[in-house]
Amino acid sequence: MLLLGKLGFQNMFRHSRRTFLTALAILIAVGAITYMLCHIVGILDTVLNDYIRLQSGHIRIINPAYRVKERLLPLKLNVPDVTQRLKEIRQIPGIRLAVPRIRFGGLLSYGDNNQGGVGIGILPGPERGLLDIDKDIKAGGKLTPGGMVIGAKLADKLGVKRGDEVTVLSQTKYHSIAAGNFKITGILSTGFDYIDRSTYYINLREAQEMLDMPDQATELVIKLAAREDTERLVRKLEPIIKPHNLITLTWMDQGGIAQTLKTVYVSMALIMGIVLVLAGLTIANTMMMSVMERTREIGTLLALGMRPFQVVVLFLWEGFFIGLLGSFLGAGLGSLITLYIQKIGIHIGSAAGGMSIPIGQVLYPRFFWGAPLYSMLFGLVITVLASLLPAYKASKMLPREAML
Amino acid sequence: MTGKNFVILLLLFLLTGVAYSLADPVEIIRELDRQRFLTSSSFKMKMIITYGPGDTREKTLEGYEQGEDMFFLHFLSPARDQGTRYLKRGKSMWLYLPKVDKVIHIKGHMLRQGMMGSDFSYEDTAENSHLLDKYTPVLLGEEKLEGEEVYVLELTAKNPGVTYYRRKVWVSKTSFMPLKSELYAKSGKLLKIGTAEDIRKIGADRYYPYRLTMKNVLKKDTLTVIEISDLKIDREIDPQIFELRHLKRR
Repeated sequence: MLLLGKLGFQNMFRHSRRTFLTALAILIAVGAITYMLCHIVGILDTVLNDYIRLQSGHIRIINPAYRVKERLLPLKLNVPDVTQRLKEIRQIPGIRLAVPRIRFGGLLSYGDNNQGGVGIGILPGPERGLLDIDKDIKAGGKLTPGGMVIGAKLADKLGVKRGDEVTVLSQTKYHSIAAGNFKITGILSTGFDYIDRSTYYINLREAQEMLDMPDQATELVIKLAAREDTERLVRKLEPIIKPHNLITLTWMDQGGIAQTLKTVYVSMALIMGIVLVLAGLTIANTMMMSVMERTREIGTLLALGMRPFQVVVLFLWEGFFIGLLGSFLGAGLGSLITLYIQKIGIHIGSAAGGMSIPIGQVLYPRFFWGAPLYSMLFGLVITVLASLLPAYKASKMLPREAML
Repeated sequence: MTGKNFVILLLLFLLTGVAYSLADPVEIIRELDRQRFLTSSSFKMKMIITYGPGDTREKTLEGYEQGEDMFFLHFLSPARDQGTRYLKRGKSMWLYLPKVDKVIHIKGHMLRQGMMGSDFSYEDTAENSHLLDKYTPVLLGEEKLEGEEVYVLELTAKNPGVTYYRRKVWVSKTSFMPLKSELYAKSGKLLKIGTAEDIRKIGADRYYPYRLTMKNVLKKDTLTVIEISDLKIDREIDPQIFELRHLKRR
């Protein structure tokens, strides 16, 4: 067996061009798979992180009735006694940040221009650790008292620029008229169309005052130390908030993100499957050629008394070594490409504009060690499997025919 | 005169007699419309809005009315509504919001929203046209409502575009006040229930409801009560009050 292994290893170098071509096929396939894995994980990660950052947090605490009517942004179905709730929540270890937000519908008016939009009242200070809109502000400065940070496209539609004063017209929690003037301090460009087109941020305190919601919020958004901790912390949160008739929603059960991700996973798995089959076929094909070319040699080996199963093992060893070589180099190359693209990003421009899930304009793959390891393993297994058929065929040859 | 003729005459008398006692629905509504509008008035108003169990807000206002077309309200309290002013001229309505120093023309879907959070919509407060212009009344019968003799009428809109396609109104036989109204959508769904209470005689054949309630049936547990005080009628009102450009400056 060891001898066969040694022979198989040496066989690799006997016909270096053939070996090179086979290894190259494996290399390209494994490299591509390595990159693709990182690419998919990277995009999903980006989407998720942005979704968590801008929309859902890791966990959101709301009034149970709010969930059903969220589209209508009902202020009446709110979270009362925010200060006390936050105090309790922040004591739980594993919770990095808990911030109140008020989402409200309202008309923005400037001169004769009116635009509907979704206002969000935030605490700019603490939100720096979660929402962090400051980094998306492309013109002007951050949110200051009496100020408003407005989505770039909404600002365009309204015809406002930094320094202009816009009027917000909305309804208080009691459906009375709510109004306020706000000075635009910053223009926001997140790359997420639905935010840039319809969202504006004001200070939570001012939103509470305007909407007649003292110490109330429509949601408490929680950031955890680790996303993987979500379910454990939900269990810890529940006894604290349940007596106050509140519920938790995790990033997984909001806005159909889980559904969307599932769809993405399925389609990605499908594409991966096709790539794998193609790569496998190429490798099998190359191995087959390699066997065909060597019928005489096989004949000689058989004539010299080598047993058919030893022929199989010999070819499997050869396939293994070629697979190892190609996979190793492929995984290395794929990793290098991934690391490079991870650094520069892929600019997809406005292609993501119309999407309903938040996708930024720059995508990044995310390197993880599993990617080269899995693809290497895959390359190796496929190569060995692909060698099986030609090896078996070779072993079935009759020495006389083979040597003809 | 033969006996036969006598019987016919008697029958005729009886029939006309019966017809006479049945009031004409058009006349009832005409009288109701007449009672609803005073030549001019000024008043104080307390608006008590209940949003749910134990959740009540009170607003005080002063108001001026001139004829059927001009109506002005000024919010005195609470602090957050103080200085808010509302003007109606004919079919147009405006709201002045002191906080943003802006006059808003109330139109479109805003008309159906509750006025300053109450169960009265802006549209409800602006019912300036006579009911008879918009609805065809039918007398359903006569009954007693909380000890008072009333006509029960059903009013169906002439134009299906109105918010309340059908109204059922209990009209007092003495004051011709709509003691109770049920307002229905075209689908037949009950939208609101209003009452007029504490009806006082304020002139020769003039009556005025000092307490109005409105319940938006679609919103659970809400109720708006309006209490009138300091009613002064038929007195000179400064016409400036009803001027749009004056709304912002007062």
